[in-house]
Amino acid sequence: MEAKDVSAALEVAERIYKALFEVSKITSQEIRVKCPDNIGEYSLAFEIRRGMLGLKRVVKRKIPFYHPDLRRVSMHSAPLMKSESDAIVYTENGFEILLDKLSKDTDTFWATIEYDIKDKNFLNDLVQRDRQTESISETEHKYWMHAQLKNLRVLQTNYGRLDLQDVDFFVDVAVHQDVKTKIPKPFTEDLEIIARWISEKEREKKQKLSMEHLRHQRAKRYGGREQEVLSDLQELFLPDHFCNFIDVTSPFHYSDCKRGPEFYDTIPYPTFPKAMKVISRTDLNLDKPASEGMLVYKKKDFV
Amino acid sequence: MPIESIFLPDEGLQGEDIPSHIIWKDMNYSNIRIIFPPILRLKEIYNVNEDQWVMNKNTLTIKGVEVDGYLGLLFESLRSDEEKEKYGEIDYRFINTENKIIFQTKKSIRLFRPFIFLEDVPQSINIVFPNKEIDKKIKLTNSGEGTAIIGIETTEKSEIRKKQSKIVEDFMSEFIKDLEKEILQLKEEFSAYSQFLDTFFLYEKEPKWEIKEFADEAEQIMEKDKEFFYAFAQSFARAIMNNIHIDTIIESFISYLDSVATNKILIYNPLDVIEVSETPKRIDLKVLQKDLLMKEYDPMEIPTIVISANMRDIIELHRLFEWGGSNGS
Repeated sequence: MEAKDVSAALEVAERIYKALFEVSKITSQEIRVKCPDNIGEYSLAFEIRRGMLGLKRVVKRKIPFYHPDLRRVSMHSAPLMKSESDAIVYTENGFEILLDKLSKDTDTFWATIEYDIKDKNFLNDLVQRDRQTESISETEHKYWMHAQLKNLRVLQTNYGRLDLQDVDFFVDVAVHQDVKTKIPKPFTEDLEIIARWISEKEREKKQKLSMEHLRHQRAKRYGGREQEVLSDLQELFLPDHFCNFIDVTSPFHYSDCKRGPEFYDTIPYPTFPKAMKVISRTDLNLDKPASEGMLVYKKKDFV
Repeated sequence: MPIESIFLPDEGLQGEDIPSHIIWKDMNYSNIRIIFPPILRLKEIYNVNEDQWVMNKNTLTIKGVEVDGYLGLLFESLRSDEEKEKYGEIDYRFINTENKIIFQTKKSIRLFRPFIFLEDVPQSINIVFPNKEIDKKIKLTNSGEGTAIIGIETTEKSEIRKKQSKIVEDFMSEFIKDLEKEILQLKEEFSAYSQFLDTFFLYEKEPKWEIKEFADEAEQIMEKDKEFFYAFAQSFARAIMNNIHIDTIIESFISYLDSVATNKILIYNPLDVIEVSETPKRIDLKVLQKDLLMKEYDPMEIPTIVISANMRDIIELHRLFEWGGSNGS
């Protein structure tokens, strides 16, 4: 219940605000955190001061923004949203805005500055994320997902409101039982014979098992294609294929999926996954401090 | 409607964290009262100052929130040793200055768990090879809705002891030898991770039931240092690829299928085998169990069974079991 701060997301914004405040009037601002990449995006509109204060523009020919976490900056002038990229110079430590290079026919500009948020725990400190561990319905598995802000006040910053974009969610969708359903029993029986044949050292027993294997091969339509069938089964768990069986309800949206932990984790090589890790995303902000959604695994279609 | 959103999940696994929230607009209230069932324990409150809430048994009273319009809650659901499912209801109330309820709603939740019990244990078992026909089996049932992950172990006093299957045993011994060499090289190159690499090797050598904490640490290191991550992954892959053959793949695939005993029981160690012979011998088994949250339940001791066979051979330990209950297949 301890209040967490967002200083990690504000440090750069604060530096930029102070630098711009000296020569301009800041008219609007907001911070957006792109959660998957831990990137802050500080957007602000400002009016360069003319007249008496415009002297500063003469004295000060550039506004430096030095910070190791700065990534990129874009700038436009209002009202035509003309690019002001000529006025931006990247340096070793960050970038500078050359005031003389800014368009002379307007005082109003819009800048967006991207920077890295180095504190990896930033999001965990700010957002509580919970999801259902196990789903029990029969035909389709439903997993609830819920994100809520731990501290709402900190989103009202001196640098505008702070929005969290694409907060990620990892749900382990259980698939182990579905693999079993997908495999015909005779196929497993034949594999067992092959396994026994490989490990058998006695010649006579090995011959018997060979005959048994041949009998199975003649009787079954996949005879001799065991490796192919095994490989086809692995393909079920490729993200491009598996995503067809996933629905994510709004305000969450599907982002990606990947093969989850192996079922049999005491041996180091891959067998089959016990779950697929599905990544969904949602946004949180002052107007929407909590978000609830549902991930549906269309199990019946998969098996 | 002043209430814009109110959330409580309708089901969850016992022991899981259960979130809840209320979002409202233009509500003229004096306090908010949340009455929750004994199966839940309050863990966190969000958007409320420390001095703005009080707890009285299972009633939480909130005098005011920090930013109006939102209350966030996090409960811990409690596990029950006796009941396989539990129902609970949360009562959300907004109260005005005259102590009258101006808004009230209730939400219910069902909490389930795996519930394993021994239905039948034979005094003796006879196995006929080569078809591995077993005359009587140990019947284990999961009557709960939660999945049980079980490990079948032989106890200290057991005459018959479990071991790994030959194929996996051979693979593991060769793999461990190669891995040791790879780890030594990695330690030279990344000395800062020496301790981590030693622990990792130990876990690979003797896989432990409890590995989650170590896995978390590993994930953090790999996330932080990509160069180390790639070198580590390459070394690990080399040690595997040098030793993996079609027999290991087939054997582990069969075991994978065997491990899914029923819809709701997964066997943690399907590759483990025992050796049996014409001479009857005692076997003492215990079943370790945990749920999908990886939280353990008490191990289950199985009364002594005498096992004999028509010849000396090995059999997978899990074949001594059959799985009962409505979830069984």
